[in-house]
Amino acid sequence: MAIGATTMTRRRNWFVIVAWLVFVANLQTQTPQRIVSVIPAVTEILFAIGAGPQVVGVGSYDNFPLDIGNLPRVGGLIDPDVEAIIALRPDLVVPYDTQVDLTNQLTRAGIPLFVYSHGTLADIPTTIRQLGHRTGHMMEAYKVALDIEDGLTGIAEAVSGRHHPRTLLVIAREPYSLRNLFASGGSGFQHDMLELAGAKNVLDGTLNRAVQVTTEMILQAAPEVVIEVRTVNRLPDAEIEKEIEVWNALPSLPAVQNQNVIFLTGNDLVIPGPRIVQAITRFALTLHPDAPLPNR
Amino acid sequence: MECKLLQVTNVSFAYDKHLVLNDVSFELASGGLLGILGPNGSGKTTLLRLLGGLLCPTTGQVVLDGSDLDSIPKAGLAKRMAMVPQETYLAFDYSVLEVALMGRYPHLQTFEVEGPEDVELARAALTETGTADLEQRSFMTLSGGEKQRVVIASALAQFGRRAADAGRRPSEVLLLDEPTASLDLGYQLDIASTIRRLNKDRSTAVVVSTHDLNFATSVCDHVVLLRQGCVLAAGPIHKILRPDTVKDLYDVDVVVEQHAVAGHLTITPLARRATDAPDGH
Amino acid sequence: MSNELTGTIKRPSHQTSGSGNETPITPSAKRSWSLRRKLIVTLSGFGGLALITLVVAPLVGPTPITLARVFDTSVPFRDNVDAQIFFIARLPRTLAGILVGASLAVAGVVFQALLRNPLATPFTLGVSAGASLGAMLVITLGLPSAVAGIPAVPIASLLGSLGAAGIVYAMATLRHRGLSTTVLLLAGVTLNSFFSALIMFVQYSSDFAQTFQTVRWLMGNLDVGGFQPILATLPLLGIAFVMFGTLPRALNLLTLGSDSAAARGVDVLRVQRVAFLSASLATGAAVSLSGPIGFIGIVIPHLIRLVVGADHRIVMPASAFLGAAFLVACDVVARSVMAPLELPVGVITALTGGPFFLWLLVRRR
Repeated sequence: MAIGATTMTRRRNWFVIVAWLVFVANLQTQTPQRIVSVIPAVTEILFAIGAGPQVVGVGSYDNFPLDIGNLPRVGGLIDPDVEAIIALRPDLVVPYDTQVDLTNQLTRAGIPLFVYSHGTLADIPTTIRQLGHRTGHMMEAYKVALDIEDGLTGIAEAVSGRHHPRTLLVIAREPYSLRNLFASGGSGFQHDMLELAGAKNVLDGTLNRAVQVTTEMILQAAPEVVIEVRTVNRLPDAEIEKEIEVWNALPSLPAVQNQNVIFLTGNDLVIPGPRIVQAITRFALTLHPDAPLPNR
Repeated sequence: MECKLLQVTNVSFAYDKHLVLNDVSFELASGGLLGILGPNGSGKTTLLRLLGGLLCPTTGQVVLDGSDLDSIPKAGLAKRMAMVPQETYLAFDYSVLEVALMGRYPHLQTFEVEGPEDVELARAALTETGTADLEQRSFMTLSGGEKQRVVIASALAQFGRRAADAGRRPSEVLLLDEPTASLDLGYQLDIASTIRRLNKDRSTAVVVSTHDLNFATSVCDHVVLLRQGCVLAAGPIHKILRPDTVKDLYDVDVVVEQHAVAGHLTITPLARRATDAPDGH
Repeated sequence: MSNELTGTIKRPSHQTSGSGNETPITPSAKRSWSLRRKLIVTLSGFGGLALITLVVAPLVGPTPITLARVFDTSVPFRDNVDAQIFFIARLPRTLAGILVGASLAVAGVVFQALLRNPLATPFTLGVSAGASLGAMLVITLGLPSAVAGIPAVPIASLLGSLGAAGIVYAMATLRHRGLSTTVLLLAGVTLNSFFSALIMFVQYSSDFAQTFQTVRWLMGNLDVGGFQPILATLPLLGIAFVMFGTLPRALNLLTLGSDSAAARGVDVLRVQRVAFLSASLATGAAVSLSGPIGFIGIVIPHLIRLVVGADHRIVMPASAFLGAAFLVACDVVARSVMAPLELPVGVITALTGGPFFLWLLVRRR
């Protein structure tokens, strides 16, 4: 029996639709095998969720975990090396949202992207889950994210009900001097870290992530605790002592009077990645030494 | 009775390796009016700077009133030797009186401020060059001729002596570098008459470097002919300025005659001489 | 005998005079001329301005403080926030502003006279670029943080500025008898570009926090946070100002040109050396104290000349006073206008100085 024209069209349409669905499904189930990340936090996340073996290139400022030791470096926020990235033949690149030129060039080269932006503390688990989806490690990613969320909740509970001291979080300043001092402002993940750890950021009212603070502002804010963050892995004790002494120039600060000027070193403190719980725990321990913190 | 005020003996001068003046010798009598003549690039300005003590001769000596120029302290020298450059350009805006008062510098102690005597002397110098009524004007707004006369006044102010200055008045020397270049005819006559008057009234010896022969003849009584750093001839103007010497100096055929009305030599160029002789000496 | 006449000198007028007829001017019609009187009037005027700024500035700022609380001796210093703000935050800033403002203004005058160029600034010859490079190297490379207890950044910037000055001076005196101001200018401008390129390179290789810091350092900052940095630069500035004191009249004559000045008895080479050294020292010390703050060195000298004329004996001290007052005033604005945040003081001097400088350029030609 001859098939009618309408039936032929319908069958053809079905065929097209099914083929299209198969094609798309295939696309999505192809996990990227050559991932390049220029962002320290993202590199850490990738390795934490088990996507390490798929990473072929990392940023120049990444230095954790140690597994990335011999991987090619492709630049960082200001100086991404497009040629080096493309030369690695990646099938997924993770740039910053502010790297407009880079994203344009990679899009033109037809390379899939996962665009990352710095966010708040709450964005970290979200980003981890998204990366899990994208790299085919959903299970591990969800576990890591959940661990982090649990960890954060645990810290919040441990410090709740206690007095949250007014704290100044110093990111950078001139050596041996209180000039050119930059502190965490009222937004951004470092502010979130501080508040979660059970402190009240004295610069809470400002909208910027980083604020240049003058002597007068410090005197007026009168912080009870000063936490200085250094991203090096270690500082000799003698150095730390000398730098703490610099604060004696402002004797009216409660932090100085009660000897609550503390130095914390390590780059886990400034990277919004998987080690965030560890970092916040360190903050919390500094602020509330006797709190019942998990992961002590 | 002519005492030699300025004696230049075997002076040579080189900028780095480049020889500008070669074995120059001549004399200037006290109260004399000397012209240094030569084409552009003959070393006239360099010679003038040497006479003023601004440069040191590579070899040879310049002796002023019996003392080697080198040995006279700068301030002392400035009280009796003044130089008027070809052009004066002020970087900042000073008044005419302030410019004239700058000539009083050698007379003042380190932190001394100009006193009423100094102001009077500066004013007198301005009057001598006919610029006294320009006193409050800004120097930069003056015409070329007015500027030159103010600068001459500033140079004369260097010679002014206060009542308290002891001793005999030293003989003065005024050096002028191309004073009439870029000035029109009227101002050229003004400058010439100013120079002659200074020389007559104050016995100031004057040395003028110029390439304008007629200006030289209207002012000078002695000349030195300079070509490519060497002295072609030196002596009284009537003896030295002849058609053959001018031909050697400028490669130009001229007529030299005493002008009945003007009272001095005039030189009229006729034609350029073809140089068949090799250049240089 | 008094060296003073009554009356004052008038500013040079720009109207044309009458004909060139020289009729002798009668004494009664002459205007008399007195430098001393003019000096007294000008300096007390500008000096008064500087003094008022010095007194008022520490009292103005984002945090309201009162003199009564500041000097309330019943409260121990370590608890008296008002007193601490006054003595640790505001007073040192004001003093630093006075020193830096005065130094940069006078250095500007001297460089303009030395180079015979009204467009010269204390930063033209590369001194400031050298200072910036020195500071940047310390911040970025983390070189020793202190030498004998003195913070390294100011030391490095001072060494950088003196190094730059030394290079420029050496080139200007190399093959020339005496000092060639042309070579000085060219060498200085070239060195400026070269050091700026190096600075960019250093910035490029620094990490995030360091970049932030270096960029902010380059904008200038008077918040010295104590008297120690001021005391450290005081001897250098003292030497520079003593040398400045020997220059004014010679600089007047230098305006005529080296030859004309020499013909009037000025030891031109010595004056040029002293001028270059003192102005470089003052600039280097000022920049090491507060970072490079622009426009003071060019705006103030011109403003002063517009008002008092070109005699350096008045221009130099008046510039010092006005420079001091101007910078302190800009600093007060910088810390008050966006309180509690602060604008870099270099932004305020540029916003006021920049348009003025453009107007000056247009006006000249």
